Amino acid sequence: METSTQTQSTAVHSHTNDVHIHEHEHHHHQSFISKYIFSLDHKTIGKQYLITAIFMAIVGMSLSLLMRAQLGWPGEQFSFIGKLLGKFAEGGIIKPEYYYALVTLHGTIMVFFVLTGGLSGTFFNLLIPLQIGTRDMASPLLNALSYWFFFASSCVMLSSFFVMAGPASGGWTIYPPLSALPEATPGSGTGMTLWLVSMSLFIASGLMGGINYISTVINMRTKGMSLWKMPLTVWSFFITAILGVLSFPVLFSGAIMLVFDRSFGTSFFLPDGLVVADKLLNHSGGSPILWQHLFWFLGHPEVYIVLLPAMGMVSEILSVNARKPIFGYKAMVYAIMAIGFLSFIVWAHHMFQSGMNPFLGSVFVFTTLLIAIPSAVKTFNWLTTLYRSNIIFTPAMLYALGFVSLFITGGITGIFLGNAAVDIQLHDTYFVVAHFHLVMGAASFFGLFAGVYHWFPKMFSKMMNNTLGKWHFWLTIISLYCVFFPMHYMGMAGVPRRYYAFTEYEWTSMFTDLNRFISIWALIGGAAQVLLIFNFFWSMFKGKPATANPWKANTLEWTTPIKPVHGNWPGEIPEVHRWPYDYSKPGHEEDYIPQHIPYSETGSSNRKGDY
Amino acid sequence: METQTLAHKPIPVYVKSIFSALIPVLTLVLITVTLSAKNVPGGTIAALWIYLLIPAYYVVSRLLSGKQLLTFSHSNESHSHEYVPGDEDRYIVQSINHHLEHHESPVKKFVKVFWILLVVTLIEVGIAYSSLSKMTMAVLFMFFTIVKAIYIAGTFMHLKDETKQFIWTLVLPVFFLIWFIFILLTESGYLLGHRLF
Amino acid sequence: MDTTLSTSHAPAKTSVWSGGVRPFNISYGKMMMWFFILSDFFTFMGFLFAYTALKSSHPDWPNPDYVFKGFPLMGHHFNAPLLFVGTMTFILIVSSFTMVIAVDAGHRRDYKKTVKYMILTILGGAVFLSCQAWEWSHLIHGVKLSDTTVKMIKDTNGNMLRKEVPYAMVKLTDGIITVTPHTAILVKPLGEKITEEAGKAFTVSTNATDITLTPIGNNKPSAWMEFFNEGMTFGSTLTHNPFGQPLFSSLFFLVTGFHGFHVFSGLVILVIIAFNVYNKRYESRGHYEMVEKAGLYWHFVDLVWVFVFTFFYLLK
Repeated sequence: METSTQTQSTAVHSHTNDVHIHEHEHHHHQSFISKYIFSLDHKTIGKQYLITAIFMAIVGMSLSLLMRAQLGWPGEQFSFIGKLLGKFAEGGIIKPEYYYALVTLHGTIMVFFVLTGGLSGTFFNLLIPLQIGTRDMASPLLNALSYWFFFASSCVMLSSFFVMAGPASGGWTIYPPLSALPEATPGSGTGMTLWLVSMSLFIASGLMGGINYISTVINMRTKGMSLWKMPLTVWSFFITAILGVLSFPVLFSGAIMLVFDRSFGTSFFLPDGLVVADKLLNHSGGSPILWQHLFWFLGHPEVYIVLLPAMGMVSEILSVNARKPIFGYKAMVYAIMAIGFLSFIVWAHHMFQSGMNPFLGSVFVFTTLLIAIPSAVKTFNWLTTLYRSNIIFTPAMLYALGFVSLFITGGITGIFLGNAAVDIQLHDTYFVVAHFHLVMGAASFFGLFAGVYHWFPKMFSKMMNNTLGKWHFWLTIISLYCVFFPMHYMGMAGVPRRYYAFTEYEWTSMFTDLNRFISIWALIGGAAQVLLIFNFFWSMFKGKPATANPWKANTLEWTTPIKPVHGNWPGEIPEVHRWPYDYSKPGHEEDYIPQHIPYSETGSSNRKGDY
Repeated sequence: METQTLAHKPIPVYVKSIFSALIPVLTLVLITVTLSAKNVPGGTIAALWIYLLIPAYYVVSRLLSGKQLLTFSHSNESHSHEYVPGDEDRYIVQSINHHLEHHESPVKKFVKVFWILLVVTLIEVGIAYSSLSKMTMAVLFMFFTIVKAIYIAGTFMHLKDETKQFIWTLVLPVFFLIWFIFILLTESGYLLGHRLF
Repeated sequence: MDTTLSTSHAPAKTSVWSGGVRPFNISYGKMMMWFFILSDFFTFMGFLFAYTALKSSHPDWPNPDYVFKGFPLMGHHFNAPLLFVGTMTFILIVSSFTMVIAVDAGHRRDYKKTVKYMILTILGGAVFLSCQAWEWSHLIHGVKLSDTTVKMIKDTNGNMLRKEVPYAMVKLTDGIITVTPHTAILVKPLGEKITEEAGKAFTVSTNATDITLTPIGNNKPSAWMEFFNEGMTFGSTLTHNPFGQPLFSSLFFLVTGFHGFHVFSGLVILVIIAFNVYNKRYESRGHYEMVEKAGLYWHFVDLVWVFVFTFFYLLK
């Protein structure tokens, strides 16, 4: 039976792409390598992204725990840190230079490799073809290449831990001159070169993925899947992919110029009069602020590349588990579009204190505060979706609720930071750290977690353990708030971020206890992630077998067979007749009506405006 | 009942008007760009308002007239470009054949555009040799550059033959670039005023 | 499925966006090529905007008419700005034209004509690259400035230090005064401004045409004397530009190099595809869309050149 369905799907699918034909001819005697490693199937590629991202997330989180160990117990000798880091932490105390490398790599890995590559790569690949109803991505070959470029870029980034002088240490924004002068700090040498190589590979990967996602969504939707019938997940993925395709190339041009500054003696980003090691440098005429403009032209859309997919998945999960249509579906779509549009014209709010033209400060305050409008639209729509709903507290739902909470908490401080005048006090303090970790870091992670719990049955045909999931959620959210909430107070008191230790001054050393408190909670939060990782890998093999539609959701991916097949649907692709949010529709016996059910079959619940 | 398919109409008037409207609009914008280079933030202020008012005007006017903000409809009923998974090659063959049937040989058009590109380039060189002011030259150069770009993209890259929506898909993101250059010029004008030699 | 229901509601709902239809009536391969082009356009604009931003923040930006005015085999005194680069542009336009004919022939599945015009395109691209190679080597090896723009720089004793410098800017770097040629507009105000700062080693006086440097005490102006005696030609490199701000030549080599890399990769793609067309590899597909996609890329290279031409050669 299974063999025959596979053959059938092969026959339907084999014309899509020349590359595919070759793969399909050998479909029945695929080796492990061609089936799981160099697969062209979008579901497998999605899983590959997820596993890579989990590994990168473990690395990124360990780096932050090392940082917290230093900040919570400055000067304390941890013998295991000494053993782990060797000469970078002689006697168990992390060296200041290495601390900056930890900051840099934590930021880079989390932003690019986990929350961009991992979040987008996993769920775009898994969900776009399944939810819009197509057999695979537009170009499966480019899709696989995109993953392998991502993999290579992850390897290069991780390899920078093993160079003599340590990894890049100029912050994840790699501002010149620190990043442009190989002699500036130990991390500015080979570590920074590897960083740039890795990012170039990453940009290539993102571009190949992005054009693929966009073309797939535009061209390959199944019959009836009009744009206004797409789930909000696909909408947010679509806009995110556009952001990526338009913003990453500008970083690419900036990165090339930086490479020239580093290796070929030009001075695009290097001003006159730089003195390194008591030697006046020959560089002259460049502008470090130009780099900041080029970087943040990517950097701000990047924030939304991280956040928007999480928003889309949370909207979907909230609606499914609240058993209620999403409130204001079109408003949600417009809000996604507005956020995508605004994300391109607000970047200089990261640069209020950089010495740029102060006039631009006022321009960018204006555009920045505009973002509050679509963000508030989304927030209120989530809350009104939940209002008087019949919530089922699955782990995915808990994470979706946690996302909304974190997004509100972190978003409100964004309004403070968006004001150029307030930013004079708050810039580069722990207030900023608290803000972006809550609104972008933790919130997007919650989106990722919600997605993993929700779509795990689709990925591995097994269910994850609910109890472990709930424990994981409560430990994570409590430790998150305990870590990041006190940082607001420290920031308002003026404690600067990126400092190695706060022991020098009276007014900063009064925060030693608070720092220790944060560090302890960070350790608890870190330990809680073991629950997820255990749950993930244990359930993959030993989990309860999944049913076809475990959450009683409407979207198309739940109409596919439990055991995934190549080409997704063994027979014809279902046609779509209705929007994806027909939950608890009055007049219908069940509380959900999947998208592929025609109105002719639901006479009792049809209403006038339905068609 | 309209049976004509979307892409195979002769070039509709609106596509032509978009192309002809783009030229003055972009020129206007670029003049403002050039002005703002002189460390006068007036250009940026104007750009900011143009940038935000045009979408705002669109939204308000759509809402006032009781229409939806975005309509993805384009009334035509038979789609030759129907998407069936696995028939990409057949579709391409069909659409190329359709194109060949309904269009006479475009070589004449290509020759014409070739001469236009050549003449415009010669005009540019001529302007460079003239004694016009720097500012006038900058405006003229940007204008002619955009003319050439439109001819290359429109005819050589067959963008004029694509649907209106696809043209907009590619043209709209360019507005982000216009915003970008506004900001950078305002910034560099400020830098010029504060540069120490 | 209830047909009456679906037909009675269907007409209102069908649109090119309602799924199961290619809304842009374009295959995904071509669409992906277009989006790649859009993305790459942003990369180029990142470079060109960086150029514009750096240019408008520097008063000593060289005038391209002084920098690019040679022509192969015409000797050092040839002075015709834009002639050579105009020729290069012409070559690229011709190759774009032959490519569009090749694409059209591909539509008609006339493989001989397709290959013929693709080869012509490849030739055009190769000639363009060679021209760029000449342009680069010409700029690197330097030009002799023609006698028509001579202005004199004299030392205190009235000896002429340098004849060939058209105009001069005095700049204090690292305690040493260097003199670099530049446009006339800047001579006077700069000379006045520098006088105070450079007072330690020299006094600087200037009128509209001459700059006079007077050493104080036993200061030997060795650094710039050497510079003057070096020779009569000026060469630009990635980091050094005698015509003014060094960033000009840095960006010139970077951006034309990046564009040249695009031309080169375009050539590689064209060669491979021409080879495949010649071997009738695309016959089984029934169409030559690969030729069209390669053509899109090639025209994009031309499109970008139009912008590079404007930013680097035309705008002053």
